[in-house]
Amino acid sequence: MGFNGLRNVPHVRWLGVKAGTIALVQYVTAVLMIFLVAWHLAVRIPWLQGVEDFPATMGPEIVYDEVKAFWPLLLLLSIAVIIHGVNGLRGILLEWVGFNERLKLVVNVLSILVVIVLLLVAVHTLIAIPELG
Amino acid sequence: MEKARSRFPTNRLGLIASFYPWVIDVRGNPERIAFTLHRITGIMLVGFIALHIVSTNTPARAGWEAWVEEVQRLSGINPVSILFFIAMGALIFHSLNGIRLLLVELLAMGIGRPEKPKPPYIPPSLKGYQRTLIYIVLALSIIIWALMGYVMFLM
Repeated sequence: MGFNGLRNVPHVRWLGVKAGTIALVQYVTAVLMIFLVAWHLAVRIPWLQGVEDFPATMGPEIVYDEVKAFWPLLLLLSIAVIIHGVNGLRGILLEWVGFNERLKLVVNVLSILVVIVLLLVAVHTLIAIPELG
Repeated sequence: MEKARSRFPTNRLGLIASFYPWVIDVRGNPERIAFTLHRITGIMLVGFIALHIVSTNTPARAGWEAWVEEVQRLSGINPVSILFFIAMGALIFHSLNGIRLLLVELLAMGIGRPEKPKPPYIPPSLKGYQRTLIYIVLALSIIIWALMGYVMFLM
């Protein structure tokens, strides 16, 4: 069976998604993260924020302004990081469980649940940020 | 009845290779070292990301006073700031090595072109610059990590 024969093997598809599509998602999120993580780290550089040290870059005023001004970028970063991270761990776990179909299902379902929970927490962080007193 | 064994040894070391990667010979094999480090740092980062997402939820969950207390844990040298610094090291290596992987795997850069094998056969991938990229990634990771340590602890 050549490489194209993989198309007919059931275990390379899950919920109708091809393994290749999931690999592509991993690459796309990786490319997105190169820019978003670089930005996320750059705003923690003290002299760019005009503060004296690293913890001061996470002061309430700076964080509040950042969330209010850049929430779409932070949301995109959260989505990319969570999907990339959980999907990467899922790939490692799938290697470990081998051909055990039941464990594979457990890994896949748990991965989706973890993504949903972390995304909900991230969205809550962005929409429920309190006003500065 | 004895279960029939395959006459081919398994090449799926699975759990053993993941926790104890040196079962595979790494001498003259920096690709394997980069792969192992990428995997270890990836696992570390998944844990860090989960904690980071829950931790940054503090203002929404408990207000700004709790957030200020949490951020103060990162000032100076203490277990939390050291763990944060280690996570940053993992992030730097994983990011730079990830960029290398995008260049090599997705864009097929640095791995040479397919050629007819003639003795003495040297794989085209060893004639490309992909190995040099690994050493560049390792060197850059150490430099950027050191700079990050300066920003975190010495500024």
